[in-house]
This record gives sequence, structure tokens and C-alpha cells, in this order.
Amino acid sequence: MDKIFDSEFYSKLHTLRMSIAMHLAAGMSGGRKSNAKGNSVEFSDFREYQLGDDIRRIDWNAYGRFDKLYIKLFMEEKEGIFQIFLDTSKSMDFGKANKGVCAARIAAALSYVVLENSDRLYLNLLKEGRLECPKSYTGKQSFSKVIDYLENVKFEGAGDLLSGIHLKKFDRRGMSVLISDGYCENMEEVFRYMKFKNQDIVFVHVLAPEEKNPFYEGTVNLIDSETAGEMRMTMSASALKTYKNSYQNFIRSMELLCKKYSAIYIPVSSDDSLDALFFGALARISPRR
Amino acid sequence: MKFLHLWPFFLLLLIPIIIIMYLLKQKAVETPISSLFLWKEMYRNVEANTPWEKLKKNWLLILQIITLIVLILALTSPYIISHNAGADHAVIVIDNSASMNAMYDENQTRLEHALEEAQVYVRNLKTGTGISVLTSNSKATLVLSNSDDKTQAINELKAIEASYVAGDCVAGIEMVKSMQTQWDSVETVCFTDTHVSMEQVEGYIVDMYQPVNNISVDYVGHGVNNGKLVVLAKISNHGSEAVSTDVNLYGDDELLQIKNVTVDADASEVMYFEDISFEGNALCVELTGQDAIKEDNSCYDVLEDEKVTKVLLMTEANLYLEKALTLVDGVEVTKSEDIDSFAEFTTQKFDLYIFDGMVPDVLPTEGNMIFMNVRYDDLYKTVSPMGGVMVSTAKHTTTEYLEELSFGVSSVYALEKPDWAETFLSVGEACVGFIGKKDGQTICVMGFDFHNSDLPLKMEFPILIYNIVNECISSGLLGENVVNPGDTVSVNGKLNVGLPSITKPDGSVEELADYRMNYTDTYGLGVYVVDQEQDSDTVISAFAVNFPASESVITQSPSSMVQEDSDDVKTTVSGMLDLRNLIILIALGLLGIEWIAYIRR
Repeated sequence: MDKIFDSEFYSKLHTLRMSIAMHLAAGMSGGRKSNAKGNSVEFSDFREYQLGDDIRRIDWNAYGRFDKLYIKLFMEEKEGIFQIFLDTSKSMDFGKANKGVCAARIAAALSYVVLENSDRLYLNLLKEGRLECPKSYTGKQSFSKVIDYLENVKFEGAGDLLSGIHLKKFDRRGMSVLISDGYCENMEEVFRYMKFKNQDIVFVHVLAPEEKNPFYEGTVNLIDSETAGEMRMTMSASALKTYKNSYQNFIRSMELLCKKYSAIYIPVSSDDSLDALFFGALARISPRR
Repeated sequence: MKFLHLWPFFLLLLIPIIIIMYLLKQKAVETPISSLFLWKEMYRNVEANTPWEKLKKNWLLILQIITLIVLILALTSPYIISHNAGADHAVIVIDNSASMNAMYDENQTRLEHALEEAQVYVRNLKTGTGISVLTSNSKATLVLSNSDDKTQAINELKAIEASYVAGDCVAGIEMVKSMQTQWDSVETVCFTDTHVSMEQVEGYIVDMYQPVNNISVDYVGHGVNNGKLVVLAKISNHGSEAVSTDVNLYGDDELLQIKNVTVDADASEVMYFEDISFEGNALCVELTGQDAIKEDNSCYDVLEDEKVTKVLLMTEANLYLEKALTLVDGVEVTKSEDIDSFAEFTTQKFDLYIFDGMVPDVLPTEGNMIFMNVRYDDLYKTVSPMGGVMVSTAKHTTTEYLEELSFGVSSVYALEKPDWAETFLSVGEACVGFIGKKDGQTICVMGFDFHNSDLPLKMEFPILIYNIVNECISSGLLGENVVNPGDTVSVNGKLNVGLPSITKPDGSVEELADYRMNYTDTYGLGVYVVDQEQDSDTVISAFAVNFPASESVITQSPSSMVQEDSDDVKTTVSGMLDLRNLIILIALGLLGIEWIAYIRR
């Protein structure tokens, strides 16, 4: 596997933060000023007192000057909750430009932006129906821990995203980023569950170029990396054409699924450059209200 | 659709082999992929999980099997029959002359191909057509006359055998002209390799000629030099390339000498075998190697014992004649002026009696005779005397190369030519000299005295006498020693002893029906030995039948004698559409499609 985080990756991170930050500024999530007014030290506005308001928040100085009861409104600073779900099944360990490496980089990049905005990050690894989520990260200083953690991720075992997701306890509303190749029979169940848990979903769909345009000749025995299942096929122009049709249908079905659950669909090819990732695909992430 | 050959259908057994080879062809390559998730989608369409499923939609295999079937079809030479609806009568003329023994292709001779085509033609005829079959070489033979039984016609065609007789279809066409007068509509199809005019005959020629490389021994002769044989052989190359070959000389069955000869294309070489010591009956010159006609690679010559021919000359004085007779080899001349003593001479049994100006009352019953300036009404009639006329030669073997000879005679009898004789000297329409064979005796008559003519002064005189004497003394047991197939050989056996018998080249022995007869069964090539018990001695003589040199090469093939678009000559019988070439084209097309399919795969 390629080295996940090299010097180029770090040098690009800053530009990524710049490109994503603009979108996130308008959003609700993370490290930003919540539009909800609450108890905070940061002044926001005045309004006249209404029955039921907390009398502790009456601005007595204003009363003195205007002879009216005004309530001081303060920004309620809320911590954005970001869930990153990384599919670490064996199928992600594939391709000359490895899908797993690409997925880890995307996870790291998003983590960087999240931590930069003082939001809370949960990094969840989905593996064989289990969920690995050591703890939450917050603050820029945590980024190195995230990196360490991601560097040691091993892509192995079968992918059972739904079982893993079910194990996740979503306490609050937040943004969930699912990074996977989508090779899962019950993707809709996954989306439905996350939506039920009041999550804004981002689906980063990572596929390898070899999966888009496979080149095989003669009779081949295809071996599934996760299940070791075999399939004997005689490759022909028509067989490959049929496969490509299946591939396009698969992509289209993922797009429709995302549309159905108001998710952001980000298709990524594992051989995309970091620039293409940071300015193209990931820059499309903007939280919905 | 029908097939000329059925054996290629056995090749259909190759189809299972191709399928098995396909099944065993490729071992699957182990190929790890991320997931079978997407592949399962198309699994139902293109999977090859079992050997038989592997064959599903395998266009290359299907194309290969179709191509194989098409190629097998091509090998069967399929054809489509379109029935000839025209004539009510069909006459098939098969040229079975010697040249039809040449190979038409690698597998069959021209005759075999002709018979095959003729059978196709018969099958194509509409039912009820009257079929006649003729063979033609030097003469025509009616094999089947106006039969509407196709099976019988085909059986008769199959029974036609090759012959070594020189000839073509001229005799057959002449017979057709006679036959067709009895029918309203008749189609004549002539299967031949030599062009023949089809004027006044409705029909066409099916050309059996194919250019071939052929080398032949045209002639073998011999002479004696210092007690040793010298054998001459003429070798001709009728092909388009120079040929070098070994030439073997056999004496009876013993190999006497081998020589090598190189003959240029379309040329001949004469070669000599010298210092040959051989005392047998027959010489044979044989070429080694194979060519289009194997029968003309051998040629025979027969050695006859040199015997002294006894001639009795009855004349008062004829110095010219005496001198001329001395020029004839192997002749022992006895001269007598006394005709009364003739009876005494007859006991000596001369081979030739020459009566010049005198004739005995009783003629000898054996031996040949020449009458000069005498009348003998019991044997021939004289018409009227003529005086001061010019005598010229008539066409005959005795006057060959003497066509220009003409001489003056002061007094001559015109003769009435008997049926058994031919004229060789004439004055205008009148015969003054004839020669022929009667009761086994050769008889020559000249109606003038040499002294009354300027013939002895002519340069040709000794040649004419030589020819006449040779014609008269050639009558041994056999008249000829080397003949062509089908020729007649005169056998002159001695009377009142055992009947002559003939041993043929195939070893069979045939006893002749008469002492003197014309033997005609000379259709096989080789040496025929004739023997007769004469008193206590057995007289043996032989003659050879050689392949006719004229048949070794065809100079006027049917196609070469007509325009290209002529309907008079075809290469196959009408009504048969040969599909072989079409099917080969289809096979090539299939191979092209298979190639494209393989590339695009």
C-alpha cells in the first residue's frame, strides 16, 4: 500500500481547509456560531422581554436608559458533531491506486478541517459488522492522533456496513460522512438508519479505475477479495460491455439513493490527484439545514 | 443438390474433436478482484461455469464448425441439377482413343472423367429421353441404342474401357449423322480431347483436354553393325519443360542397356544403343518416371531371323531386271529361260516367281508371283493393247516417294484390275500395273515389257523394283512386325499342318481359326508371338503393338479450336451447376468473419 500521508498531503491540507471552510461557514456544524440563541458569553442582539423569559437575562442597563425591559440575546456556541465512517473491508484494499489509501486520505483531510473548526470528530471504522470508534477527537492538537490512527488502519475482512452502523449511538444531530466503495447489498438500510438518526449524510464513493474499465482476456477465475468466492467467466467484448452497463447502473443507483435521502454524493476515483480531491470532490461538501 | 463424392462426410467426425478441443482449450486464470458485487449482475448472461455453458454463444466455435462443414461440403463436389428439357433423344459419344488415357487430373484419366461427366449428364436428362451411347476411336461402336432406361445407360457407360487405338470422335459423329435422321429432336454430347466438327449435329463438345506433361517413345528400330545390334529410339517430349530421364533397353525381359537423355520442351531426340548382343525376339525401350500417359513410355521392336528369299526369274533376257534384283538384300535369284522346266523348279518352293514374257500352264500354289508382259486370263484380264503412251504411278506403298515417276512405253496392255488388287501404274484411267493378295499369295502384274519402255533408264527404276520385290517377299508367317493397336496383322500360315496360335502380351493363347487370316485382336500393347507346327519344326514369329505416337500429344484440343464464348465446347455437361467454387468462397468468407470476430473479442 502507498504511504498514506506524505509531505504533499500535508502541504495540501491548508488549501483544503480554505476551500471547505467557506461552505462550512454557512452551515450549522462545527466550531461555528450557532444560529440558535442560547447561554453564551458572546452578545448577539436585544429584544423586548416577553413573558416566560429568564429574568436573569434582562439587561438592566438598557432598562435604565430606555425604560423598557430588554432581553440580551447571546450566541449559543454549539460544538459540531462529525462522524466519519470508513469502510475498512478487504474490498477497499484494491487497485493500483489503492482505494483504501485514497479513503484514508479523504478521512484525514476531512478530520483536519473538522478539528480546525473546533468541532468534535468521531472516526468510525466499519469492519466485518463491527464498529471501531476509540474516542472522539476535538481540537487541532488531536489531528496527529487521527493521523496515527488512520495510518494503522488495516483493510481486511468482509464488509457489513449496516451491522456496524447499527452499533453506533448517535447522540445528537450531526454530519455523517460515509467513505466506502458501496459494495454492500443493504446500502439503503444504512442510509435510512443514518437519516433516522438525524444525520446529514455525505457519501464519498471510492472506486478504483480497474473497476470502471476492467481489462481481462480469455477465461478468468474471478476471486472475491472479501469472501474468496470464485466466478469463472469467459471474457468477451460483450461480457465487458455488460459489466460496464452494470457499473453505470450501480453508480446511478447510488446517486438516486443519495438523492432520496438528501445525501451528498461524492464519487471519487482512487487515482484522482489530491488537487482534484480537495478542490473538486470534497469542496462540494456543505451541510444542509 | 447432389454430390459427386460422399467420402468427405466421414470428416464430420472432426466436429466433436473441435468441440472437445474447445472445452480443453483454455485454463482459467486466477484473477483477484475487490468484489464480485458487480460481476454477479452480469453473471447470468455470460458465465461459463460448466463446460457446456462455456459453449453457449461461443461464436468462434460456431463459426469454426460451420466453416468445417462448408469445407467438407466443398470436398464432396456438390452440384445442382437443372434438367435438360430440350431434346427427346440424347446421343453420348465417348472418345475412347489412346489419348484419352492421359491423366485429366491427379486422380483420373480423361476417359474416366469423361465417363463420370457422361453419367452426370444421363442423370440430368428428363425421364423418358431416348439415350444412345457410342464409343469412338478409329471407328465408332454403338454401345446402347435409344434406351430410356437411365440405369442401363449408366451401367453401359461404366462398362466402357480404355483403348489404345488412335483416333478421335470423327467416326462417332459420322454415325450420329446417320442415326439422327430417324429422330425429330436429338442432342449430341461428345466427350473428347480432340476437336471435331459438329456441323449438321445438334449438340456440343465437352472438352476433356487438359494440358499435360508427357514424354513418349515414338519409335524403336534396329540394324546390324559388325554382327552386333544397333537400336534406335526416338524420344519426344510433349511437355512445356525440358526433361531428363533414363532410357532402358530391354531384350525380351532382360535389361540390356541404360542411357540418359535430356529432351527439350516440345522437341524430340534420337538416341542409339550400340554393340548390343541379343538373340531373342523382342526389344523394348522404356522410359523411367511418371507422366500423363504411362503406356507411351514403352515401345517395342521385333527381331526377325534374316532368311534368304529364293526368287525364280523366268525370262529370256532382262538384264535390267537382273541388275535391279541384285540390289535387294537377302535375295537369291535363280534364272531360267525354259518355261517347260518350270515344273521341276516348283519342287524347290521359291518364295517369289517372276514371269517375264512367259508363263507356265499351272501356277504354283505357294509363293508370290510377278507377271510382266504376259497374259493369263485365269488370273486376270487384259483389256486392250495400247501404244506410245506415258505411264505414271498411282498411289500405293510400292510407289511411295515415286509420285513424280513417269515413263514412255511403246506397247502396253491395259489391265482389268481385280477386286483383290490395287493399281500402282496407270495410263490415264487405265490400269497397266496392279498388286494385291489372293489366297495368301501376293500377285503383281505389269502389262508391258521393260525393253519397250524407257523405265530402266529412269533414276527411280531400281527403287520401284526394290519396292515391288519387297512387297512380294514380305509374306512370312506374319505380314507385319510392328503395328498400332487395332491394326490388322495378316497371318500366312503353312497349309495342311497345325493351325497357328497366338500368345498375347497378357499370356493368353489363342488358336487361329484358319491358316491364313487377318488377325484383328491387336488392342493390347506389347509383343504377340505367333507359332505354327510345320512338319517337325515349330515356326515362330512375333509382332509388336505399340502405343500410337500420334496419340501422345493432342495438337487440336476442342477449346483451342473455338472462340472463348462459343457454346459448341464446354468443360462440363450442361444442366450441372458446380457449387464447389461457390462453397469455397463462402468458406473463405466465414474464415474472414471468424478472424474479425477473433480480433474484436
